[in-house]
Amino acid sequence: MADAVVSVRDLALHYFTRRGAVHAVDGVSFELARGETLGLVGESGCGKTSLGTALLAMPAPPGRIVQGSITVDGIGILTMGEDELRRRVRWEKVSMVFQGAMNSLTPVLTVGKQMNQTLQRHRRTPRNEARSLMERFLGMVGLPADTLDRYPHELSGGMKQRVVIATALFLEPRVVVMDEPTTALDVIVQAQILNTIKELKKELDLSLIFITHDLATEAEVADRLIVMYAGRIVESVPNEIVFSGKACHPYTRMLLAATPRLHEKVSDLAFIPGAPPDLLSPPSGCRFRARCPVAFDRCAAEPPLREVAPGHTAACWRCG
Amino acid sequence: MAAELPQPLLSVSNLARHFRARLGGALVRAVDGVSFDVQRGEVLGLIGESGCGKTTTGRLVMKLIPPTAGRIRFEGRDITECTRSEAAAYRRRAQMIFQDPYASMNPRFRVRDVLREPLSIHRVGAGRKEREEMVRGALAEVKLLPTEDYLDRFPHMLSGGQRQRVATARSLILSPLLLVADEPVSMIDLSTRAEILSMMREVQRARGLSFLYITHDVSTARFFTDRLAVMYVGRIVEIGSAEDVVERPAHPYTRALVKAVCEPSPGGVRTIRDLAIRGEIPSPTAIPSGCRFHPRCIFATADCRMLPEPVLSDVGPGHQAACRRWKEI
Amino acid sequence: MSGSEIARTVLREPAGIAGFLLLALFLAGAIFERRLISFPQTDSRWHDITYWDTEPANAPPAWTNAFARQKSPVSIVLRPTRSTEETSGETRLSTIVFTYQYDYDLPPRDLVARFRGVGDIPAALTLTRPDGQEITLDQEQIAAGSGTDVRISVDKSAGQAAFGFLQGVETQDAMAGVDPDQLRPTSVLFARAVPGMLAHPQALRGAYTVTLLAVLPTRQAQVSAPALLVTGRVSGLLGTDGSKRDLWSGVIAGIKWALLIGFLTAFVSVAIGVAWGVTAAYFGGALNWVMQRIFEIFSNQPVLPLLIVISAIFKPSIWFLILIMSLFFWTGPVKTVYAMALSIREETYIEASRALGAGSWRLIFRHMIPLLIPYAFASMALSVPGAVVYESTVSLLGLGDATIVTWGQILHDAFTGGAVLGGLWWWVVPPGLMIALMGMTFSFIGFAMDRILHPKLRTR
Repeated sequence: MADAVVSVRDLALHYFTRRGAVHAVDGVSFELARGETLGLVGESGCGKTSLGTALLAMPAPPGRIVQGSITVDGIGILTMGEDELRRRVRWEKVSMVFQGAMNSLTPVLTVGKQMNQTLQRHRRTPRNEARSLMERFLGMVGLPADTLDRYPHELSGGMKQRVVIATALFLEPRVVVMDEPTTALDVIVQAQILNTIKELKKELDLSLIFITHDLATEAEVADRLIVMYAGRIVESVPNEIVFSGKACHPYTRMLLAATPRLHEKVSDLAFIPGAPPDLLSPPSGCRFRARCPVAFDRCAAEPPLREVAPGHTAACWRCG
Repeated sequence: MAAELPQPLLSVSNLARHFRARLGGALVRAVDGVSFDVQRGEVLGLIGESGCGKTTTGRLVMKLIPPTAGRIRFEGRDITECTRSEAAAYRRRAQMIFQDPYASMNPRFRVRDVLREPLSIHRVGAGRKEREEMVRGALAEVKLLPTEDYLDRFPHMLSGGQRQRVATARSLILSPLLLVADEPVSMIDLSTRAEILSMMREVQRARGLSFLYITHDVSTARFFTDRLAVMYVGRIVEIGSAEDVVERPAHPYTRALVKAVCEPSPGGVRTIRDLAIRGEIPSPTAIPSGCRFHPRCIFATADCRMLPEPVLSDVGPGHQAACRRWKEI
Repeated sequence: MSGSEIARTVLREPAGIAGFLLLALFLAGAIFERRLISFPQTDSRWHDITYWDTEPANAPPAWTNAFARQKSPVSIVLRPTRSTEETSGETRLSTIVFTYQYDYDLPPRDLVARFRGVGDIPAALTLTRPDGQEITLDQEQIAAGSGTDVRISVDKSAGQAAFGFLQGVETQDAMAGVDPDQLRPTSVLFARAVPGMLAHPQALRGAYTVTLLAVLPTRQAQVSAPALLVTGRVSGLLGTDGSKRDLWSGVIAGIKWALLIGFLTAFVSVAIGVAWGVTAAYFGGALNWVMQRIFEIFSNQPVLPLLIVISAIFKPSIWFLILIMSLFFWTGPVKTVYAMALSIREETYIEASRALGAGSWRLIFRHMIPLLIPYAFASMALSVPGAVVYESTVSLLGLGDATIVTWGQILHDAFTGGAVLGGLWWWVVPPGLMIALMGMTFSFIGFAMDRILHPKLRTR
């Protein structure tokens, strides 16, 4: 894709634990177009958070990127040194809202001091400039300027999350990775934050990677859905096609069926029996085989991720 | 004219829980006058956002904390203040499932110990063999089979869903009449969530259990409950059948809540949704005057602020809401 | 954490392994005490001087001979090599001969002829040297009555005989100013008979014969169980103290007391401390307030001075001492236990058990206490050295239990016996080292349990 702001090729991230190497991300390729929002969805342990950290070249220890390339705004980031990454890439080009970040605000410092810490670490900014910068972005997320002088415990969950989002934005990166930004929030606050994210996308021309396990939230805010399973991408499909019911990978379809709908009283919610495979030694063939209701003998060979319709790829022998 | 309802299993009237977090601190009105009934075999959902008091209500019903005011009737008897033996008898008939499946079990206890605890507390079961039978039966009921595989495991060896099954088994082993479930699936993966809820539904139907299902997730509440009560900052603002409350919400707060649920539609990605609500949830130490929802209500008038708080009044058969202006909006 | 998990945690660290090894050694020492020491009644007869008469006083350990330029004789008890009896009418003449092989540079401190005698017995003790010289050491009339233990000490009785012998060898000038009463007989008797032997004695090596002649005038008169004690200059594995007590035996005997004091104090005090902390945390409120105040009173006491004063006034037995120490040591674990119990109390599973109907006792004993056991063990390990040192201090000041042997006591005797000034290192160093080693043992074990000792107050 010519206009790709993020390009990931054959990325593999393994966690080297005492028991062996856990293949958290095991050969992932995708692209993020300028201005696009990607919804990265999967069960816990599928590798989506690890993928998020890889995009900042910051795998959580004991993880290491063992293979692949990541290009952000034309720059290959996996070959860079720490220093350069910190100066040129992180927060400048791509930033991240970490899972549970709103709860890791330290209670002993004011919001302003904490935001400033992050700011100074990536770009040395004189104090008054820093203040007006932070105020501007707080305003963008709908918070008053005096929030800077408050302590985290004085803020509600929604306000804290807005602070974290503002922090991820204030160096105006091209790409923002958001890992479960609304999961811990109340329904109404969640909707408000999603509205804010939509506004920010427009205002700042952001390209977003939105990581979540909740398909309903993802569909609210993303243009394209990428479904991960056991460290691999199993389907990449525009949300429009999902709405029309044409998602084809069995896992995707089961996830959709398991998402409760408000306006339909489903007498029995679908669910996916079993559990994801152990990533210490991933199974051969299609990794979803054991839980798939339509598996057949061809599934003993791993299906490649291939195009089943324009702009729609899936890794399943039954698709396309 | 509705038929004469049989005596409800659980009847809560004007339940309140006020406390001061610190000596001399502000008064927190966590639960501020809540009344509802749960019939036998009925699932009543209690939904609301953080700080609405739903968890506290659950704990009040379970008599884990004493109420500041109000009464609780169970099987027709007032159990608000009772002796230790009466409380023990109540505990056999009303049980609780907690939100965090890991934290609700002692990590040093094996599954067998977890399930045996209620039996030994209430001295149920004639001997070791009988208790072992009951433990296995409970595990089978929640579909943790084969039971031998699970009896000797520690909680950290189980997945979140499996732990919640064990917690459910623990609550069922004494054959209670009422189950209070506080966010039982909110900490479990989406794909397993449905499985656990289905299991609970089955158990509820098979045993004719009454459920008080506490959650903030409107969608699962719609799926799981027969009747739904919406709480806002310590009070019930709407109550009715699950269908009525979700499809035909009368109270502005319920409307906002329902609107806020993500129901994806084509083109929705570009649209800023109209959430029909303003501001933030007030603190339970500073509850607004008049209708407590008025500062956030887009339909509020001066009356809503100045007149006394509206009470639950009929808006349809078996459907009540605490709003004076429901017809106009 | 079960017992095996605790053991594994400790053994993971080198410190833990070292600690466990030392502990095993100490335990072995205490268990096999009887077999290890040559004076089996050390414990009960430490203060009985009659038990300690075979060894020299203030003697360095026997193995120091290997490093000394001049070899010192080792104490030895000789049985008769020959024993004859001649009868002449009613009177019997008993001749008992001992042979002593002397191959040292320094003379023995003393030769003591010992026997059980009955009746009035004239007796004579003679020494035959390797160079053929025969010296009559002592002649006396022994009144043994109906039966007594008789001791004839050369050191005490052979002064004149030695003097006489000396005169026959030395020059006039050398003899000037020599006082027979001040003379040490053995230094003469075992030296070469050459002029200058007084000032520069050279050892006469070879076989010495000591003959005991006893006249038994009546039929009842008797001499039985004869033995010759050669009191050397070095003795045992750790030498002797000023009261001729074998220090190796004393030190080994002290192990069990140190272990007892340490373990018992640690156990009792930690048990109280844990119970205190848990109760205060669980019940909270007014009870907690009262318990906190009591805790503060106890924890602010200066324990050692108090111990000293109490010991000086009451002269306690070891059990009383342990009791007093426990009465103050319990404050150690309380704060942490309180904090841990408090955080456990807030855990959901406690609430869940309460929802099931569990009462306070069940919650405390089935849920809270098991989580505190690892900390309790670690706390016990670290309390032991303190108890041992406190008891040693009290004993050092002479205020300890006088009926038992403890290292502190030995040290006390060393200081009052002038061991430091006299350079009697074998008296001071071993007991001090043992105290330090015991402290080290439990400190090591405690360090290895660090992870348990400093829980991040996470009880999951």
